[in-house]
Amino acid sequence: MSEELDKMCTSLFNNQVPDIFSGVGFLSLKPLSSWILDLNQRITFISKWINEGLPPAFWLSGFFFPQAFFTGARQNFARKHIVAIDELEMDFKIYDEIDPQEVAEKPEDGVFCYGMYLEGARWNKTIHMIDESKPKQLYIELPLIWYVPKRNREKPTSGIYDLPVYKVLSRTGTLSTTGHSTNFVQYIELPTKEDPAKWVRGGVAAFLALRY
Amino acid sequence: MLSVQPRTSSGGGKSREEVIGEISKGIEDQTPVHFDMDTVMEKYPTLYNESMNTVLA
Repeated sequence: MSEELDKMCTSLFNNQVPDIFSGVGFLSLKPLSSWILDLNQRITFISKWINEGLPPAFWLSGFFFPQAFFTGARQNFARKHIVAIDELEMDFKIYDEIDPQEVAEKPEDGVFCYGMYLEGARWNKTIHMIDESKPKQLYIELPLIWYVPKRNREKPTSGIYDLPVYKVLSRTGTLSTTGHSTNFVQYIELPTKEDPAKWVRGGVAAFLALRY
Repeated sequence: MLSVQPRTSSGGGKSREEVIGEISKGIEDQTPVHFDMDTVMEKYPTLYNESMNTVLA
């Protein structure tokens, strides 16, 4: 038995993802059993896209490299409206009254996305802002988000918290040749009525996948 | 801890090999077939106005 095979057997036995799987797979902190489920969900997401056409709402966690997806979304907008892509920045609208699964139509411009988990705070559906977590709720799912590219967009200077979005809970990544991080995805502007420094101190962040 | 435990169990229970075999079988059974990239490329060609096809394929 080769060393590789031996290592793989040990990982399988310990419910860990073997190195030869994770080396070619998506970034993940999950144990093997959840990893396989995750892998299959990703495949189902892509298969559905192939068979049924563009999904009305995109499951962000299903992407290997979500940043490229957003570039694609901006490029679509740029070409449709004949504007330079580098003049476009994403605007965010949060739809907390629709279940992402029930979205039937894709938006005229931009993309609907879901699948993010918020840590350190919760989304308050009544005031449509981020708010203090409820007891014993470590992670909550963020509602459906509409990303719509806007030309020469001015970033709001107040009333928002720049929520960092990572692929996995470790919050660290390395810079890859594309200039992107292997873990950090983007900032999302979430409305808040409080000083954003409060959420910064609380380490509020969102993740595309959890540890289980 | 794990490294000092005996690799083979004597008596009742499943051996390490049996457990690994079962897990591997389980994974194999759950694994779907490969995507047919040629069909996907045909159905979602690289288009000027639809960059999402590039995202997919």
